[in-house]
Amino acid sequence: MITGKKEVLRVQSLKKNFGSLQAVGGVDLAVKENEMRAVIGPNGAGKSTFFNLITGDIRPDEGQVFFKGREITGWVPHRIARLGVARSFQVTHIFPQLTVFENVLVPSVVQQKRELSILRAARGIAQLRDETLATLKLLGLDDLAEMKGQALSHGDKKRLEFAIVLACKPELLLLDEPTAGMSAEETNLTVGLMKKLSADLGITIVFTEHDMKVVFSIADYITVLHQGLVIAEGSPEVVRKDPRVIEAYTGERRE
Amino acid sequence: MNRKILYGIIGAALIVLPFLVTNYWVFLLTDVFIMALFATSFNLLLGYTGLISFGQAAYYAVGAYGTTLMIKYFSSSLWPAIGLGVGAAFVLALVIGYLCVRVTRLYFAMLTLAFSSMIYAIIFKWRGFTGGDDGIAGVARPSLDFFFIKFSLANPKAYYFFVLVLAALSVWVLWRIVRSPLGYLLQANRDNAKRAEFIGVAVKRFRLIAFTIAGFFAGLAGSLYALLAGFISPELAFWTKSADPVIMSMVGGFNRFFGPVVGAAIYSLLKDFIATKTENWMFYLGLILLVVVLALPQGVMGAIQRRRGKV
Repeated sequence: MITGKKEVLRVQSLKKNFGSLQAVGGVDLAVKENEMRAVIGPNGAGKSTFFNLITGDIRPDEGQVFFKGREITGWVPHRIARLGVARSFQVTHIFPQLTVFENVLVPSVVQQKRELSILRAARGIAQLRDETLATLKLLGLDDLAEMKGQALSHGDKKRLEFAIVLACKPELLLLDEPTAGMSAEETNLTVGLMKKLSADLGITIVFTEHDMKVVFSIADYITVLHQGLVIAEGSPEVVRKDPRVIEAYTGERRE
Repeated sequence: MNRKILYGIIGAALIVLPFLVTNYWVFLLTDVFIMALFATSFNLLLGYTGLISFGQAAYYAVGAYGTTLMIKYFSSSLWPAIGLGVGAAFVLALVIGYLCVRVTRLYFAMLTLAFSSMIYAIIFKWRGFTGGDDGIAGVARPSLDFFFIKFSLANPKAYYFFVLVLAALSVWVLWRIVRSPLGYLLQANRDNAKRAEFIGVAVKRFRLIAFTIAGFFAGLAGSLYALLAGFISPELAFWTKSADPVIMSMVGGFNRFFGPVVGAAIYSLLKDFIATKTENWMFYLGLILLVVVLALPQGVMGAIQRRRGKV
């Protein structure tokens, strides 16, 4: 674990029940600056619920969430997003009727605090256009700029969502299965991009992933959830050998 | 055809037209401009924010009553009268919108319908102030004052040009809004409110902004209508009036900015044409609209642009 760095995310005894089902049952977690953290676990382990609790999609029953030392428990999603926490979803969320360019323009509008600006056409504002084009270039989407979001292939849609969250200029990026449904080539591209974001921009990344090759190749640190509880935590080498992890995954692991 | 040339031809035609036709047609065309503004303001909600309001008649009616009551009780000047109508519609849209934007889709539609029914009931019952179901008649159209020069708007042609300028200006403002950064946030809300929320857009606030803008311009349309007709009644707030901009947007194409304008022209002229031929005009109008909506799901504008290869 990287030491001497500031904590970006801290979660304390976080709990959430859905009726009698315990989705997240008292999770503690701390992620440091520029860390690449994988949260893994079998289906139904509570990974998505965990993400939803952190980003304000649902309120926890108990426990606290801190972002850079500031408590954000129970905040609404847009306030959390504005602090610098961006997320992607397991099911891709883009703006289907807007063009690729406009999809990325929207978060840039928010980022540059131009939400209430009505005096100029959005496409005529150089700062906005440049920022949007730069993000598109970074993701290799510049050739598709004028295509509608709904016309893209699955992999390109995922990439577009990646571009949308990056345009928010997040400090903490939460990626829910970033490579799900991607071809091997697209997966490699995404993994390369995650590494680049971490190395070049210093973004802290927390991601869930089913593909263990991806997890063990890029994660600095791994948290294993099972039935809403953390059953193991450590570097990839440690987690790989942990008997509880092997047990939790036996018969349930899909790759 | 070049877009600018097309606009030029339409503009020129609208300037020449009132001098070529009877006053009846001048009246009808003025009404088309008003409905075009009403429908375009409604479409800021349906086409750009993804909200279906079934209660826009409330703001239209409040615009009309505000203007008429101002002239009747306080002042016979033009701008204060229009200002009161539009201002009242704006404030009402802000208050009702605040209560409605918590929900979306059918729930939103039903809430807006419920509030507009309340407005209708208030206008209907408050006889002493609004004239109840008798309405208010015989309010003279004020003149337009430019410092020391007075333009009478009593002439139908004069009022035609007054409405043409105001409606065109308003539609232009709405056009600027949908192209602005704010406009893109509204479209983001329409396309995927969840995605918008999670990039930091306070989606409810932006729905309210759109709703208030739409109410403002619906109020202006109502105000202009009151001055055109010289007679207002609670019918203006009835739910069938709320259906007008919905139908116009569907007919013209709510996915295109100018769809509601085209839809307003088609619907108003068609209604007038059929109503003079038969007593059962509603049946035939319904039949024609049915065919249009089924054959042209993107509306008339959508079909035209598709033919021209611009999907």
